[in-house]
Amino acid sequence: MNNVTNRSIQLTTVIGAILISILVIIMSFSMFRGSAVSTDQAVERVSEFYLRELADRRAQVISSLIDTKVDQMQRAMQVISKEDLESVDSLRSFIGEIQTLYALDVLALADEDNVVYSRYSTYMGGSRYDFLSQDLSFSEPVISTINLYGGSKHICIVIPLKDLSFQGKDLKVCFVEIDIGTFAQSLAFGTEKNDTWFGLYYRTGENLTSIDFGPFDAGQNLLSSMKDTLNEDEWNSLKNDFETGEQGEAVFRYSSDLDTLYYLPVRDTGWMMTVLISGELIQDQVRGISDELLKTGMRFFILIGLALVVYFLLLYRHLHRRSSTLLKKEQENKMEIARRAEKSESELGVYKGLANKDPLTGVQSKLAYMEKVKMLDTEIQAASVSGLAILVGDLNGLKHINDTAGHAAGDEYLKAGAMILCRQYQHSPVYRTGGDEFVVVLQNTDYEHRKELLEQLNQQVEKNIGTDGVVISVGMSDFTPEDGAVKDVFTRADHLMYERKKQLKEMGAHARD
Amino acid sequence: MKKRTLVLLMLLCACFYMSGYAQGSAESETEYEASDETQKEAKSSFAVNFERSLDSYIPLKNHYNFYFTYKIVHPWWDAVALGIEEAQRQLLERGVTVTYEYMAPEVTSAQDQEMRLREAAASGDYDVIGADVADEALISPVLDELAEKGNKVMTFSSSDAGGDCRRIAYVGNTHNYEDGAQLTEALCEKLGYKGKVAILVGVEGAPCHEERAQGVKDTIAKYSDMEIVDVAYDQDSIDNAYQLTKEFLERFDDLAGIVCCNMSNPVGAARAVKETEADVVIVGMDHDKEALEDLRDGIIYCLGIQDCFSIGFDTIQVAVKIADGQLPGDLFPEKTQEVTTLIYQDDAEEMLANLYGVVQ
Repeated sequence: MNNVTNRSIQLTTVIGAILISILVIIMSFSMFRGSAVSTDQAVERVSEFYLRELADRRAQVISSLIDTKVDQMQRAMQVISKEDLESVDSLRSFIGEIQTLYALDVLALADEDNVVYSRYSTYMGGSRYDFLSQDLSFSEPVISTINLYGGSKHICIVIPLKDLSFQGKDLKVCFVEIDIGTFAQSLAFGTEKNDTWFGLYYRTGENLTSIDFGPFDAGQNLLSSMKDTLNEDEWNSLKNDFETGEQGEAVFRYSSDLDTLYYLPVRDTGWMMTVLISGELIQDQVRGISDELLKTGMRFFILIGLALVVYFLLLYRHLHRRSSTLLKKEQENKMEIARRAEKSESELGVYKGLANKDPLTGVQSKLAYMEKVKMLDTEIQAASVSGLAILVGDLNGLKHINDTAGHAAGDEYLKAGAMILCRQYQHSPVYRTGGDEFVVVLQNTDYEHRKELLEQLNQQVEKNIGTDGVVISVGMSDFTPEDGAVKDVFTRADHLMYERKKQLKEMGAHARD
Repeated sequence: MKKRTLVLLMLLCACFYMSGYAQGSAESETEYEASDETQKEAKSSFAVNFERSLDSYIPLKNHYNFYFTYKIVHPWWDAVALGIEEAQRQLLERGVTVTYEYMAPEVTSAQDQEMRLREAAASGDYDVIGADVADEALISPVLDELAEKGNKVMTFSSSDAGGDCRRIAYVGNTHNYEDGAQLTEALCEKLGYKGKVAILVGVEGAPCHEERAQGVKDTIAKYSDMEIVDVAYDQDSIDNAYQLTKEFLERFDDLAGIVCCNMSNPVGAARAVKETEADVVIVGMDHDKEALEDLRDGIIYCLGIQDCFSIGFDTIQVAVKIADGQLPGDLFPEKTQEVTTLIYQDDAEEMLANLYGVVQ
């Protein structure tokens, strides 16, 4: 019992410790997972913010640059004089001065026949510049790009001209031609560490510059190249954003690197400014901070774990001691209870014995007889009774003795009567069921010899009539299968007892009355 | 003592290791540079050489003014213009200013060219007058006349003047006939030397186109199982080339091949063949982007690529020498030959990347 209880305490403590440990592990795991998700979210947000900022600024620089060029051309056309337009040489001289003044790559004017006038040359521009062959009804500046033989690309910032003519032809546009490669280099499109790239693309995904964009070669179409790196929805979204000039971002894995692309339209150009950043770059930075937080968290959980282990050990020790003490007390209590129970049982037996015993004669009492009858009736009901006889006895002359010799003598007479029955029926219980009434339940040996024993008793009684000895009238009856209860047998025996009492009276014995 | 020896040994090892590392780095760098150089060479040696530099000639003046006229406003001559611009830029770096006019009509016209040449000569503003001869018969006498009047005259680009013209020099394609023949040989081989062939030419009378067409005809004539079914001129118009090809295909069910003698021919022909899904082999000239894409996609079988950039570059170099009074000889040849290279489907990607920066 003691071992079982100790084991229960140990088991409870261990299960408790395991549950707490599991809880700590789950919390740690949850914290790790939460941290990873948070880190990814942080990376995404920081990337988006960082890229948007970079792209915005570059796009603004480009827009600002274009605005500046437009402004410079407009100023130049405001100051161009008649003298400047007198001859090719004077026009070239003017263009050269403006070009030098504003540090322009190429400044040119084109007339209605698409003859282009630049600082050093006059040439036909119809097949070289798309904007010349198109309808030039525009009133606002136009940005046009040209692909040159040899793979380089130039942008042309074009402003329309009015009321200017040269050699009898209307001058229709003024434009600045810029090598996009040089333009992009001046905007520092590449970084020394090669972790951030900038690009300028047409809405079709074609690169404006001759500069590689991260993992993509300069000549690759960005949209086509990214088709394999994104799922269909993402790619369609990217393509749609490009076509409609919307800003957005795409995260993709090219080779083994996770990269983030951010793109936004450049105002008034039809271009998309793109920024590509290696996801690892920001991730490494954020991950560093996150790792530190995780380490701190882990240390915290380890400390909590250790504290819990110590707590459980102490708790176990305390419970163990406490339980041992309680067990000892409980055992003592049980022993005391057992002792008391034993005592009570003994006392109960005494009381019970007292109740079942007739205090005067020492034979069994009427209460005991009733219990016996109840038990026998049960057996009769169960048809398990075979040999049974009831002997009913009644002392003759008790009243006479009480009246004449006193109650003490009467009591002695009763004792003597009980003694005769006990001696005669040594194997059967004798009950005093009334004042001078006795019943003997005959079973087994006494039942087998019931007739001889009755004969002997009657002979003894008849002898006692003459000697003033104990005279007891008895009737005996056997149990028969027709009997439903002991009382049936008793009634017959009682009847026979009265018959006998009459006989004994006739023989000189005292009667009751 | 032992400790000192040990330290000394370690220092020696470290020095040895460091010197070995440094040597290794230097070797790697040298290898890289060589590799880079090889790459440049490979790019520049394939059909078009963009890495041109001026020769060692030192111009006698610090300013030159030239007049050039060519057949038609067309991207092919824009490519030549880029070579001219590069030479002008390099001369400017050397302190020599070159100004020029580079003019052409919107539609090919020998008369227009004659007028331009006469006006340029009359102005007296130009050190050298150059012409890409639009019509040999008409322009050659004009050039002679200008030369007679003391103008320094040269021809350039795609077409030279007639054989006895007094122009000083020619820079450009000197082998148009051979180009036509070479293209046709490729076609004949592809067709197994049998079948019907149509010829698309550019401008009637333009020497380069006519010479190529003659090269085509002579080559076809060599093979008895081959037949020329028609010859048509597109006037350097892609739309015309397309329409003419459609007519070929309608008229000749069993047409096996088309030889295209100029830049617009193969573009128009390929459009028609793609549209009709005809099984016809196309061979053609020049570097039009669409034609190169058709070459890449197997619509066109092969293209003859002229080095336009070098034509323009050398035109300026020769013009400067002519302006200085130099004559053909050691400084420059009377005809500066530029290369034409036949390219096939396998070369198309590289050519698209080199000429147009397009990467598939």
